Amino acid sequence: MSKERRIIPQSERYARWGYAFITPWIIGFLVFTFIPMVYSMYLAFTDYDTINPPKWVGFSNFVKMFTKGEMWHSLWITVKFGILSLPLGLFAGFMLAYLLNMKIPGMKFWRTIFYLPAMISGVVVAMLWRGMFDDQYGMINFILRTAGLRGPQWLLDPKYTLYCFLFLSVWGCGGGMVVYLSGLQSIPTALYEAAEIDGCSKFQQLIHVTVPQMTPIFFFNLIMGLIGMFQYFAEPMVLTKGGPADSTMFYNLYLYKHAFQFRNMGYASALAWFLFVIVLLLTLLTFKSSELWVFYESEVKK
Amino acid sequence: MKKTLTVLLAILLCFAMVMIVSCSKGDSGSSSTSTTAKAPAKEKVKIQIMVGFGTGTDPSQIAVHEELQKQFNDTVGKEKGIELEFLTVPYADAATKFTTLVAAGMSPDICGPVGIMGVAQFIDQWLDIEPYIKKDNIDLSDYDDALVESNRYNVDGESKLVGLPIGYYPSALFYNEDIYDRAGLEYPPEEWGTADWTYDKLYEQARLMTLDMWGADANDPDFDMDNVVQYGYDGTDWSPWRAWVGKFFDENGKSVALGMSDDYKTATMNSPEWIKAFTELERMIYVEKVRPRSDAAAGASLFGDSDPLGSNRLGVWETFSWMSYAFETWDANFSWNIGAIPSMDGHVVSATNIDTFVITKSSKHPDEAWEVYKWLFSDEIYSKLNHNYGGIPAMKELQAQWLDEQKAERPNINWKVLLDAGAYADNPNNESWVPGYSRVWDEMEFAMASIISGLYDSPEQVAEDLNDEVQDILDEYWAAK
Repeated sequence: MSKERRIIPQSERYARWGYAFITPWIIGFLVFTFIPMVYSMYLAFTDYDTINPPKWVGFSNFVKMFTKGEMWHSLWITVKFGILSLPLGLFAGFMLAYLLNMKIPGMKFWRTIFYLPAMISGVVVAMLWRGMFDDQYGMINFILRTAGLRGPQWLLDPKYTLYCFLFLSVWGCGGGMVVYLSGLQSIPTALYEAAEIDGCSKFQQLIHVTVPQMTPIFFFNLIMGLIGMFQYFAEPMVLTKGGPADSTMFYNLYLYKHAFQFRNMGYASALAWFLFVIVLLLTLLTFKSSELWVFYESEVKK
Repeated sequence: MKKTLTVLLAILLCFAMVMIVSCSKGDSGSSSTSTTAKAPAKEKVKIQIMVGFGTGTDPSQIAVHEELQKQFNDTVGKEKGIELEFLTVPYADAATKFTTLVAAGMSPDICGPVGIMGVAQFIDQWLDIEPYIKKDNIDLSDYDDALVESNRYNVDGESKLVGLPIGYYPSALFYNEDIYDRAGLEYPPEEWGTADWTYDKLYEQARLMTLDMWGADANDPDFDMDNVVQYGYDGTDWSPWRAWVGKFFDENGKSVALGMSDDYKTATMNSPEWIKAFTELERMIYVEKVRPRSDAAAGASLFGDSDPLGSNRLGVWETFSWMSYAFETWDANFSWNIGAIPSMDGHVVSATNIDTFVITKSSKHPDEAWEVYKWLFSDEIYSKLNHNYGGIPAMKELQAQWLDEQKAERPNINWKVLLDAGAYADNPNNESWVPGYSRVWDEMEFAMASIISGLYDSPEQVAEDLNDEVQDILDEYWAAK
């Protein structure tokens, strides 16, 4: 009896090849992300010092987390930083892109210069700014002294430390700028021409044409900024290690301290999952709010 | 299509599980050489020494380890069927690497050189070597007794000796002679326990060496403490807070450095002595104004990262002798010397760091590890190791030779100050074990940083808050037992 060969549709053949090509990624994802993630969920309910086997402790890590002031302190530091740095970063990135979208001489040079900070690793940025913030020999206090002002001890006085990180964050807004720039360049010129014919000034064009057209980009940068804010780690780790007196103890630093300094991996896993829930909720909330303020060209608002 | 996807995912999942299982616990690693039952009887046992918990990671030091490894494998190793291997990891990764190796069942057999802090962080991972010492009649009187005892621990009611001292690093006053000369001051004494050499006297000197940017010293009523360009004194910033608290003694004449009861169950960090220690720190910074408000580790300070004295803007640095790596920079920039630490309320204390080697409890070949350990502590090898790490030898008969070598290299330095410091070593040691070690350490550093950065109400409140936090840690520790 002859076997009839099944004819495989072309789409399925393509799909098989597709899966074959992404198999290395899937293996990497499973081994290095998905399985550790699931395992960390289990660890969050254990007492685990990374040497001895995990001991089941139920919800006690979560109880400790919510009843200890330290976690709330680090969360507040992170949120406070985010409230200040997110809008500032979004605004600075957009304005920079807006200026660099104009036809001025040496445009490619300026774009490169402003994008450079985004290319440098967080650790290098932190080392660089450490010198800038030096209270005696740093550039910032030198400028203030030249202007007859007394500069503070930026990285040593808890009143000022958080603001140092604002400088860093705004300085690195070049990454967002590139995205804004591509958004600006994709706005149809016909819209500007129409606005001009209607007698709109440049400022009115910015408010009524550019900004609404750019809302999907704002939305994208907001989501990325939000996630980045809760992942903030390298710069405070290098610059202050959470000090002085825990004034820069960002959430991730606090998590790191418990995981790798105290080898309290169970508690650190509970912290990580709480962080995941916070980021998820905030992202969902932002997505929900986007219906009110994000405008897509192809979309018809009711 | 759906079926294909499901099958593919199932295969991937299985593959991932196999990967994880094969990477996790099991009789792998070093055991594989010895547990291969079918192997010839003479197959060598591999003993691994993990280096990275302290000194020993510089290229020149690694070269010495390699030389020793070869020497052992060609002689004793060949005779006893042991193969020695040094595994060097960067200091920053040592703790993580060690825990990973132990968790994966691939524990190194020996770790070192490791300080008391490194020992304390993993206190339950080290083997008690006392039975081996008794069995082989090792003469402990070869070493300074206090240094041997610093490696004896009483953990959860069990007393054990985890290592022998390889070298020690006392603290002393390292001072800049040029700054002293410019201020017209007498240098700190070379003799320990000099009657009128007190911290009050040191502050007096330090005030004259602390200058603001307009040249006023700390005695001047117009002195601007926000614009200081040269400080008189800086303390042992890199050590735990206990290095400072260890200078304070209770009414029974016992140092209060531990900050808890002898059974480690009750925190005593709000005691009058601890409050006095905090008050004294407050005095140095805000009243005498002689000590910087930053600590060296915080960076972005007047002094750079790791060598305040090297900035040539500090009169005296009370620190450990292990910072000998900076001597060359000092030599090139100013004249310096070493003086004795002053007394605090009649007590003279030199906070001391001590290095040792420890055998891991999880070693699969403890007997062979002990054979290597004995070889490391034999006279010839001990001397080589000690030279390699730069500490003062804990083996008494080598100390005179150490002094001669230092004098030959830098004849103008008062090296004997360091040797004599041994008699004033802190007890309990500033790094000694307490339950919840890293967390207690962190809380103490936070309390200290609160005062340094001005974020506090009063020394009493700082001590009270610290005591509450540490008591919580102790309660948690004992509840889990």
